[in-house]
Amino acid sequence: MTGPARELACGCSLDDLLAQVADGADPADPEHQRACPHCRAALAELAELWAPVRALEEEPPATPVGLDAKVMERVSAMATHAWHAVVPERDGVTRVAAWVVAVVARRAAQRVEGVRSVRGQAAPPPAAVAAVRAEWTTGPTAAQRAGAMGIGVAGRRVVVTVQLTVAPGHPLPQLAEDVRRSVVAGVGELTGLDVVEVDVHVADLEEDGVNQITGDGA
Amino acid sequence: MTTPVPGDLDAAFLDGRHLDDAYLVRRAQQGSPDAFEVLVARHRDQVYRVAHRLVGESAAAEDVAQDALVSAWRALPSFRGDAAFSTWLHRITTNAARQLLTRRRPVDPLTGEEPVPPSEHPDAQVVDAERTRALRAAVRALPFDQRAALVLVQFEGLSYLEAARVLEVSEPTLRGRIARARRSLLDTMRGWQ
Repeated sequence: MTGPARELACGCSLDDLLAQVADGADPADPEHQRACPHCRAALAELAELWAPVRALEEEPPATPVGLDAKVMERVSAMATHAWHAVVPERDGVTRVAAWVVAVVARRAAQRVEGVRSVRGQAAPPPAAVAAVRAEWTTGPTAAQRAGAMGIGVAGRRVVVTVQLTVAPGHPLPQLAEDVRRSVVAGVGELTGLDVVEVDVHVADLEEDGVNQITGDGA
Repeated sequence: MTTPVPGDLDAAFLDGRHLDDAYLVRRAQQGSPDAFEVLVARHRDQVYRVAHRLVGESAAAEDVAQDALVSAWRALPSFRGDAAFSTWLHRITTNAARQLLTRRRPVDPLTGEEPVPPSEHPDAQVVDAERTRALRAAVRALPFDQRAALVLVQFEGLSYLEAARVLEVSEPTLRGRIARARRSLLDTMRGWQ
């Protein structure tokens, strides 16, 4: 390090005195400083030298107009692609594609006694699996949109809609309640998301593969 | 989670000004861009100011500020609230500035246009203006780590400990960086005596 000495004749460190001036702090040793001519001279010099830096502190650059709008435009573009549920974890973020939630919800609904079938795809199409990596920048594929139908996600909150055909002989309110419970538990367990609402649509009655009402099953 | 609803539903309530950062952060983490917008309005000056002082130039500063705030939205789910939101934003801003400067390498702060101390003594006002320019150039010429430490403590008024947390270094390391930065600036100022 070239330049002037870093220590005064009295043994005080110039860095400490500079820090005192720059921070506007109290002296570490006021007794000494009051009496010591070296310290007093150094402090006077430093205060003068440092003044322009103080002036710089007082001139904050003005924020350009429209910064907020530009930021929010980019944020909205991301936020409206609600094709991911987002789970904050200790060490990072887990994103679950909405169609994955749909599949988990469907399977959970299917496990309930009295449920014959749950409408929608049984598994995500291979094309959707391949596309999931590119999804964040390009938006969901048609297949993913279809797979995610009836799933609403915002952050870690999920709203699920399931359409069922049921076997006759099961009281529907009880059945719907069982489906709700199963979906909440199943989705929560497998994805860690909060299912805040499950809408159950009973679309048809079906027995032994025969559609009772419209007769066009089997 | 309840929103404190004030007695009179005034404009300040509707635009979220009375809501504290912690509440808005939680709402934004659940996916509310509206809550995030209030946070942006509240903190954009801080973000831009730091960005400007770190990159030293308006266009680049705006890029850094934009990138930092958008990154903040993306990273929100991982914000655990164990530091203040503004501290966390400082860290994101500093990283965004560092990234931009690294991308734009080679950054040569010495452009040859730095003002040199006048040999004679012209108008005092001119000297002041020139000295301010020289000082800005000296701040820009500091190594990034020293500059970041100096900007946070000297210009933003963070404590040594807060700044150390933002930059994820120990407090003694941070104090060392600031001392070196101050020494450099002091040497520049000595040239203007």
